[in-house]
Amino acid sequence: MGDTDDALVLEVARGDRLAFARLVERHGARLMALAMRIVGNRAVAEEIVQEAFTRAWVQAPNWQQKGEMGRAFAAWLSRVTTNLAIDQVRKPRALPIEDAPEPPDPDIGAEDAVIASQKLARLRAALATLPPRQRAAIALTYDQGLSNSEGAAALGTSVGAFELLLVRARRALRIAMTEDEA
Amino acid sequence: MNDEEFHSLLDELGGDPIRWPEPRRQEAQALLVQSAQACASLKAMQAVESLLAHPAPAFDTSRIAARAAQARQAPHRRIGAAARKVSFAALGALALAAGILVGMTPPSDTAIIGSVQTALNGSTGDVW
Repeated sequence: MGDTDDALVLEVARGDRLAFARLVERHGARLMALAMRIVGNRAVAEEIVQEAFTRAWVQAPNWQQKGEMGRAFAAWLSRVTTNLAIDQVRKPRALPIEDAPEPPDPDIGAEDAVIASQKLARLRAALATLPPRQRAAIALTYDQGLSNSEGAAALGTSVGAFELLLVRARRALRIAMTEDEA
Repeated sequence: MNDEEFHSLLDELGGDPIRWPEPRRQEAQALLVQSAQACASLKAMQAVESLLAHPAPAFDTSRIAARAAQARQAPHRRIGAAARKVSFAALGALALAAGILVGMTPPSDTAIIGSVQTALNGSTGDVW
């Protein structure tokens, strides 16, 4: 069995659970980061990633039939995860924004670590005030490292609209952090 | 370049000067020498981007693989389904029970059992 996404998706389409586990291992952490950034809640983010992979597993035989395989698999997963996360944030019931402790950075002292932790908490609070699609644009750009065109595809919008979301999100976060610094 | 134009540059391209095109980069660097506000804004944007680059929390993928692999045989479970207290099926069961109480609906045993089972199991429809 090959180890590319293409090869693994073909195996998944035939019901190979080991190949599926390999794909989950390969893409799970980045999807978790994406969902976590948008919904801000670990338990809900895990459910979203679970759902995205469940859809991947269920729909794998259809990809083989349609010729939509591994080349687009990563982008498909990002798109599904992003849409599920945005839908979740848009629901009226509010999700608690977690302030999960960060692992200590061995390169900085205790006092600097406290300051960094406080800044991170402020950034999370500012992120929580952004509209869901702006949060998604930030996550796709900074967490996933996607270009504007790739991010636009994941969000199902035009490049221009994606760039506008990014500009607005950056502005809001910059102002929030500037005010905190003042 | 003034402060407002510098803010637009930051919001459009971020806080890393490498991403700023010429001649805007030179104009921005000239502004930063004389504007405390521009310096503060740059510092804030760089703090944002530095914090966004923070590594994601560790994530155990083994459960995901195991649970998703069961899904071809099992119906979908909605995200956050456990948190939902009331479903349409439950409302239907309540309405049926209310009908029984006021004597408007002569129920059969199978209707009652069916409605209660539906309420307990939730909707069987695929919402996705």
